[in-house]
Amino acid sequence: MAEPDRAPSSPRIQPLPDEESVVRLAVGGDRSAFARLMEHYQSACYGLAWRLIGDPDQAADATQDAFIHAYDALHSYRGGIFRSWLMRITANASYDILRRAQRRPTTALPEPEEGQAEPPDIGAVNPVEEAQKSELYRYLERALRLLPEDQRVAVVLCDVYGMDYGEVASMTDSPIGTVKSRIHRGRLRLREILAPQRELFER
Amino acid sequence: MQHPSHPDDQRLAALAASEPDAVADGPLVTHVAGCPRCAPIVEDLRTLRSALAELPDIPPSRPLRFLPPIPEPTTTRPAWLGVLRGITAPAMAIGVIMILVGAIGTTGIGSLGAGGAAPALTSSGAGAAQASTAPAPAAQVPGGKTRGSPSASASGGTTGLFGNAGGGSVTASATDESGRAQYRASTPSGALIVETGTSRPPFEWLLGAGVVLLAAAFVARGYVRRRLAA
Repeated sequence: MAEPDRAPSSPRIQPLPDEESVVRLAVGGDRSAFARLMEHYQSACYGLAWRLIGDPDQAADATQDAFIHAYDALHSYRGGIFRSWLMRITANASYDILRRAQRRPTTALPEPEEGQAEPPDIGAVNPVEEAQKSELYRYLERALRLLPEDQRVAVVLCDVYGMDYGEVASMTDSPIGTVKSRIHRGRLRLREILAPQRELFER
Repeated sequence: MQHPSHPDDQRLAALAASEPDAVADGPLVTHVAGCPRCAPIVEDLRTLRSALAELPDIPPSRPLRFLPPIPEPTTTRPAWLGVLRGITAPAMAIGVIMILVGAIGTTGIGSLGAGGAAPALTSSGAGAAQASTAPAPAAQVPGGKTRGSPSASASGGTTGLFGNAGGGSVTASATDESGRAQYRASTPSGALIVETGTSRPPFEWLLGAGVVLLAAAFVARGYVRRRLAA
């Protein structure tokens, strides 16, 4: 398994400048338009799958499944933010893989090692600030992986990808009260895990 | 963690998430505002949420396909075409069998030693006679009379072959009128009459039907192949 703390990251993908027309073309059956959308959002989808599953290969499988599901479900796309629609499909595909994994004998995820600081991006506007952010993200990713799975899924979907409680409840087949409780406990647990790196959050 | 004098941590988390019921909870808000333990927790949780929302995307660990493969075009084949395809081979086999049986029956080979197809023999006189049939096309005499040697054949495919009984000479005649054939054999000691029934139209019919069926099956098979290849 790849060391998650060292997973290369890229800034959150912004919508395509002409996304509305590209989506319209894709919904109309234009395969190249659909491919353009998937290429654009592949990092976003993979990031979500990787954070939910924690395994790079299975995350790639889930992302691939999500692309196929999205292609098949394009006719049911009713407008709105395309990225959110695609994220929901990716989350479902990832959660399916998680559920299948739960039915099989599992091995515990290896304990993440202390992350090594990535070299600062010297091309960045403020290399020091970028390096600090990079370090903060690494610790956050590591802390997320230390959460129990139910809390991790809920926190990732809600806090990282902005889904509301109802969406998370629907996706995980859980009551909203349970989802809220998982999220609150997950956040409190994250705070405990990250207590030694508290100064990173105060900058 | 639960502290007797402080709100439950999950209530603090709810307040940090700005959940309506927590925000509307006056005592909770008041407590957090003046509590050196609870205020930092709520603040940390808010900071944590902001940081989580900024987590960047991650490029895939391997190249991904952006499009599903184009599905093979599914040909909508009419149901009757499948049925036709299924019956051509049996039809050809049946046609061949019909032709064989018809040909054998028509030419008379099948009547060798068989009762059903053999001409009925009636004999008169003291002489013994042997009768058999041999395949031969009709040698029809105008007027419907056929007279021939012992191996002569009558219209309709019936042939009488009369052996020499008792050393006498044997002649055979075949009359073919209205599909009936009659054979006479005369010997020195008397006359032996062999009379057949009608000639064998069922075998002719079988032969003809077999040819038609085989030809139709060939045509149908070619048509089905062309349609499936298209």
